Amino acid sequence: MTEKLATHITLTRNLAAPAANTSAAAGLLKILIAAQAAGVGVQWSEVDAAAPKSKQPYWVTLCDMQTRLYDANAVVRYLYRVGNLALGDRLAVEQVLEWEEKTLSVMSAEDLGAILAAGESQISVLSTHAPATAVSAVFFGALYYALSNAKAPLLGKYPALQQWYAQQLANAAVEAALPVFTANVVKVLVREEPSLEN
Amino acid sequence: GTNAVAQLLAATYSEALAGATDADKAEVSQWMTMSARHGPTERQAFAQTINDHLAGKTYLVSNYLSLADLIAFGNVHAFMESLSAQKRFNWCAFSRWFDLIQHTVPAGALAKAGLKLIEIDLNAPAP
Repeated sequence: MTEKLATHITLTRNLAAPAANTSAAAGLLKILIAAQAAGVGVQWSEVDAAAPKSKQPYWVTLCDMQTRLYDANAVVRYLYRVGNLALGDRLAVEQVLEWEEKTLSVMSAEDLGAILAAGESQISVLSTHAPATAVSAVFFGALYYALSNAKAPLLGKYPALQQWYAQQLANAAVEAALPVFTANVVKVLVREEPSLEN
Repeated sequence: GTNAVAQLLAATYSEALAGATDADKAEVSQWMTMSARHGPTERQAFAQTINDHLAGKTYLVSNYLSLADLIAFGNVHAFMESLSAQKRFNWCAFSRWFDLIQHTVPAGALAKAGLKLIEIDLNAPAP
């Protein structure tokens, strides 16, 4: 059954703004890009102080006001209607999203080189998806911290990924989502080579 | 990955398992992702999440069997086997759901997956 796409989703913030290098921040960026691309508004809401506490940093409530999604990739799947794609297209998307969920998203945020290498390893798949589609939104969210914080010598090792990143940044949905994202996460200082001086 | 294969099988043989509505589909995928992210060392937390979620509910998503139930069941089967009768009783929603799913899955399919029926007693253990 395919329903009309929601005009808005409600993003309820439960905890303090997430740090930029966390999976919660990555998820937030994925949701914001997907919502922009789908033309769905995001209404922000703070959790009711009297409501039972949850460990989740935020959740998305769909238009039906009943369905709560805690997982950013599930929100992306909903906004892009991945479940309604033709079987071949759907499996192509599911397969690469599952790789992101099981491999990329569980990597240590501190190891920028490993994250970039993992992203580069999927570049042949990523380049087949236009910017701000489901796969691109998920990978951009997952790779953004590493791509935007790695120093030039490290980034230089991954030219194809850099090119992909530049294409994403030029997309209107990504452009519109980034300022909202930046305003709602806490910046983290990156020390690629920690020393006594820094 | 296993989740994509499960989606393929559902699409081929029983579309409803992937979720009847767009919202249900999103919830099903959320549970599948959670199952994938909770490795062997996090099964207790996952079981607790399932138990909390199932208070007043029969299935993980909406009111019908879906891939969410089947994938999560496969994930927690070994963990359930290791639980004491007291723990199974404490997590009564989780245990009741587990028992329902293991009796919904055909015995032949369970055996092929190398899983066996686990006897679950939902009565309070003797003190």
